[in-house]
Amino acid sequence: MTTIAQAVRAILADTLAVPPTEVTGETPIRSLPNFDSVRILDVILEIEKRFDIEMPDEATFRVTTVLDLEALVADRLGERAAE
Amino acid sequence: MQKPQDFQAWWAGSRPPIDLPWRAAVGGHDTIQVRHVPPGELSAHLDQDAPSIVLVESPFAADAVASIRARQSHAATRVYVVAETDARDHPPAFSEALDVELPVAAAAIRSAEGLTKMLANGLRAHLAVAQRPPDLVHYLDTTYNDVFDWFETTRWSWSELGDLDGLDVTRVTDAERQFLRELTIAEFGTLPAVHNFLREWHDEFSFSSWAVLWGAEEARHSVVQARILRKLGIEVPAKHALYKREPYPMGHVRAATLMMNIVSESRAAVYYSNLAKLAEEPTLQRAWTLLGRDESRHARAFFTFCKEACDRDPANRVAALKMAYVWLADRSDGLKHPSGFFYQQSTSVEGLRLVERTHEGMTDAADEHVLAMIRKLVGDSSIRSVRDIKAWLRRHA
Repeated sequence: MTTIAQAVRAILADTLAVPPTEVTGETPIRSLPNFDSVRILDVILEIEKRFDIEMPDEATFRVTTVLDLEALVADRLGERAAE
Repeated sequence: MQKPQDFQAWWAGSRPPIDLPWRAAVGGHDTIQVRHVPPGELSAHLDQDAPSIVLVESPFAADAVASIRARQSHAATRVYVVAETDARDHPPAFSEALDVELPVAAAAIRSAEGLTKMLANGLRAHLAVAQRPPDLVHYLDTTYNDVFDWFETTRWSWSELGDLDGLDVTRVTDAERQFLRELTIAEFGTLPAVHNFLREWHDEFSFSSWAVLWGAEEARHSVVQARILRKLGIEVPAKHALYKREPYPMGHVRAATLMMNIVSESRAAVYYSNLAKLAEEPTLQRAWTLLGRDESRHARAFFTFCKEACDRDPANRVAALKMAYVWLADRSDGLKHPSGFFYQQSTSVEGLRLVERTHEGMTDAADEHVLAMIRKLVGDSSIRSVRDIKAWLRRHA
């Protein structure tokens, strides 16, 4: 598992107070225990601070799985590197 | 289930009503322990602890009450003067000024049953004032009183609608008939909203009182539109009002709940206002204009209470702005509104989206009003977009 995946899953598990084993790549984010829109915002804010990136607003609400979120983070890191 | 609590009551006198220390069960699962504190030692004990209740024998009352009320930290302690005779009609002269409860007759608390009953009432009084802000001394020292006149003097009267019998049905379009139906049903959501406000604000009376006024104004919105629909030969099924009766999940942070309502009222204000501008039938135009003005007033009042909460505790700003971001930024499933969000079983899930799709740009216009309020809320004139809200949150959350 990549560092991005590890970090994103750890942030999800920590923010939603769920065992890390419940956060897999295929997990639909909205199905995770304790999910709500404000908590997912907390996840995004933590990701932005951790990776020093800005996540696009619209894309944030369109991600469905944990893998989607990890891919979004990777894209943003790639875009930042290219700037 | 609430965790059982153990409360403290002191007897400050020479002759306790029953043998002390003594413990009683109160309120189902809580207990209260009564112990004897000699009046001469009261001050030293007050330096160590703040009991929920103090029962003080009449001869010692003046000094004891002064000692208790000199301590702001003991503001929630309920004080009862115990006299041999029933002195309810002649409470001590300092009672009102020093926040002393009605006197208690000694005979009434000489039995376990009598003392338990008295302590249970005292505990209810203590818990009621325990969350009181320190600056709330008089009933009128509230934001409710501040906004009351504004609301009383700007509320529209039913006569301003004109005679609904004069409605020209030929000038109401099919789209408007659909909007009327969807908005009538959407407005049913304000009843569970009042229910929820009273639940979430269960320990105060300022916002709660205003919420009742708000609910009364909102309750007119469905009636007005349903009556216009009846003139058009359209009935609104009662089931939709029943579908929306159950309270939706209660909020966790009041400032966030208030912000959600700032967003929804601001949007509703612009929707009604736009619909009114386009309506050609005068009665319908008048109705939607009045409803739009209501929603605009409501948004500003919710903002007033939200600002009060945020000024009292800056942590509330973070909660409020997180809620604002979620409601303003998430357009993944069309626009969000509590009515459609919480009541998926009701057809008005699509109603407000229909309004938005038909009048492009309305939601953005409404959200500009919200952003203006957010700027005032946090004192940051740089917040011009949802992106700026998130940037603020990155700095402050």
